[in-house]
Amino acid sequence: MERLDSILNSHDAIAFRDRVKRLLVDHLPKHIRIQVEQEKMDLSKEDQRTWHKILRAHGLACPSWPVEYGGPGLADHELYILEREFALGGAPRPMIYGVTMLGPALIAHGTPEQQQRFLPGILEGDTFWCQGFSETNAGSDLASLKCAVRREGDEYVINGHKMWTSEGHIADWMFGIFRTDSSGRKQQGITFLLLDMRSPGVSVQPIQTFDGTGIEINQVFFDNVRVPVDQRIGDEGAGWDIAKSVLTAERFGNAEVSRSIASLERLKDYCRATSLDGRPLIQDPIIARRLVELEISLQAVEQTELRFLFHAGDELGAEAALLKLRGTEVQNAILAAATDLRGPSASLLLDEDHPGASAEYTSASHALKAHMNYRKTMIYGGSSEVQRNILAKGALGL
Amino acid sequence: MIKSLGLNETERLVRDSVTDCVSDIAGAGGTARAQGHGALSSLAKLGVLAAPLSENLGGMGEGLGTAMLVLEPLGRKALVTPYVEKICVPAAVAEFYPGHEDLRKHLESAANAGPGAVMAWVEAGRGWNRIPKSTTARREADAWRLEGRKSLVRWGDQAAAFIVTSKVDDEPALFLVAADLEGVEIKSYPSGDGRVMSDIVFHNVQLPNNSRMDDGNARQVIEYALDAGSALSLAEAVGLMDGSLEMTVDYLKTREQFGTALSKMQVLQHRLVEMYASTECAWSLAHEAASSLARDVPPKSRACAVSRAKAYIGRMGRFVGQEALQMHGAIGMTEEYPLGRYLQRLTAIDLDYGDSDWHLSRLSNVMQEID
Repeated sequence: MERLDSILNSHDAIAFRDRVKRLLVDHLPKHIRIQVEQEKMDLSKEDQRTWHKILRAHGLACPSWPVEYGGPGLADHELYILEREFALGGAPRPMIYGVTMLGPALIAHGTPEQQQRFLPGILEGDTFWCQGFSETNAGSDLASLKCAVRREGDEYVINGHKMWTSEGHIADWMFGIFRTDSSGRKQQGITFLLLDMRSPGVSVQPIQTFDGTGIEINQVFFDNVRVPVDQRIGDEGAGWDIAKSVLTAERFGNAEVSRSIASLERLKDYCRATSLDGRPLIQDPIIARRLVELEISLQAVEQTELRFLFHAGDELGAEAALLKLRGTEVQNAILAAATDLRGPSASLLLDEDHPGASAEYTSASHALKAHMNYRKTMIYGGSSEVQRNILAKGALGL
Repeated sequence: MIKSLGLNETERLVRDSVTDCVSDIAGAGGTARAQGHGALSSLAKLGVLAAPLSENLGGMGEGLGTAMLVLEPLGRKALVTPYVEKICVPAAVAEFYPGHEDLRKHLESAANAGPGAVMAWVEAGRGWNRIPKSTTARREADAWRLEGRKSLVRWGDQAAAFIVTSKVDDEPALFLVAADLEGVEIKSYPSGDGRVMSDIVFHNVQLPNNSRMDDGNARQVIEYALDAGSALSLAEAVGLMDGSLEMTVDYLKTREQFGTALSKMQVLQHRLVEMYASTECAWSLAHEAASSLARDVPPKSRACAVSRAKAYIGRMGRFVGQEALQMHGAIGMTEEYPLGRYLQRLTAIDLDYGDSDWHLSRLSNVMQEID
């Protein structure tokens, strides 16, 4: 049971941490940091690209990619430090669909030609990707997807729709899974394709969410959309396993522990700085108790994540699902508390440019938006119920 | 059902030998007390009771955290022993006073499943307050006189001596008091998890000069020793949690109702997963708490790591034990079926060394002090 702090506090690790911290202080644009500190998850395409290009210039874009594909080739503990420092310093999340999901899938399953064609656009931050997985009747039961593809010579022709497509309204390209054969088991006959969102026959219908954060998700319709066969990843009918690997690619961070640590620190700062009847909120025993309980729940996930990453090694399998399950629970509990502790201004929901709104009101409004918006983390990427199913089968053998 | 305890090769060997050694005892029947005693005797013969002690006392010399390797397998089989009280807590005290001969002898005795010494620190009406108030000692020529009472000393009926927290001139102090001295009165009571707890009255007991252990640092030693007791008891708790979970998973696979195995019902599967997730997280926090007992960890960091773990595992241990009972149904209520012992012990561990609420308050206080 070697102590993890010896890994995370080695001479090299400290030097790396300092490098990352300095990058944030020197180069993270303030208007981006402020949005992250307001818990805004989906930044504009422009802001995401700006930050990505800064990372690229400093050799830290696509941090999990190997050197031969243009990544920095970081060790596990460096990736861990990077993710932690980015969260604490108010840096945006990576461009998840290209950098975190598709890139590693292309590296694992793509042909050299496909890698040369698509990886540079992701690495340079020039191509903005979205993910076409869910459909109206294929959510948790993703394998029952129906969006149909038929082969015509050197092309596939897509007809149908995709649903809940995050960032579909700003994406240049989509990776998705489509049904090429419906004769066998539903996991068979699924094919993984890449397509240009400007292709004739693609139409994007933005979906307004209730939380006041603006457009994040879309419905995407396909009307005889033609995709060249060389944009297929893996074999025809082999898309299900690739999609599963994409969904579990995020070994680091899908529990968002680092983001939650930053959120809880901000909440504690708020409770120190804000007085109620002349006394800081943090001195209220009931509020202090609530903060401490959040800290315990978060530490439970944090220590488990560390244990899995650095001790379980290659044995890590279905167990990782509990990180997402518990991590998103505590994340939502922290953001709920961040709203509750605003007092009477807690239920304000303001437009970004609401005239004359005080800092207190604006801050309360951002807290409510985050509280509502982040409910999605327990739904997307395999809902909490799906994670429990995975654990029941994979960890408990049921 | 924990995937990986994260042990190195040596640690795995120790833990496996403990597991092998106690597995027959747990299956052999008999009272909880007899089983616990049998486990200790066998482990003493194996030489592993001393594991957390320094090397000159026959231990591995890797620090108190090594006790997890003994306690987790004991918990898994619901074997209730005085291991934390007689080995871990006195060993924590001995880290400060390595030259104290009598304490050393008691540790050697305990490592051979003998009577040993236990800490007497709880005072009536003061909850889990660690700092002594009503027990006092005063100088008398070349001796000390001890006056007062300690409540519900765990395993107090079978210890040869007590590490007594006491006040000297308004400051905390520590005395090693033999149980057979004149004026030591012991009255014992059974607990729900098969232990015995003793009220001990000191009637102006005359103590030899060398019975005082501390050199003015008693407050620091008391905090460390009770943090060690708190933290290491959690390894046993996690063994109990994982044991309860495994028993429940196995039972639900065999139990059929409504024409199907209960383990096929999603509503029960998801509850089992909640138990499992809590158990994995519990081991992570227990491990962090045990690591924080390293002497180079600042006391405030240690206090936070220990109290976080104690508060979490106290509650989650009982949650897991209660869920295991609920999903077993009526069979779990019987004395014959072993599950009840798990729940009793998990409950007792929460309610010892400061319950969850006490540790939450302690954490709140630390957080507020920083401001």
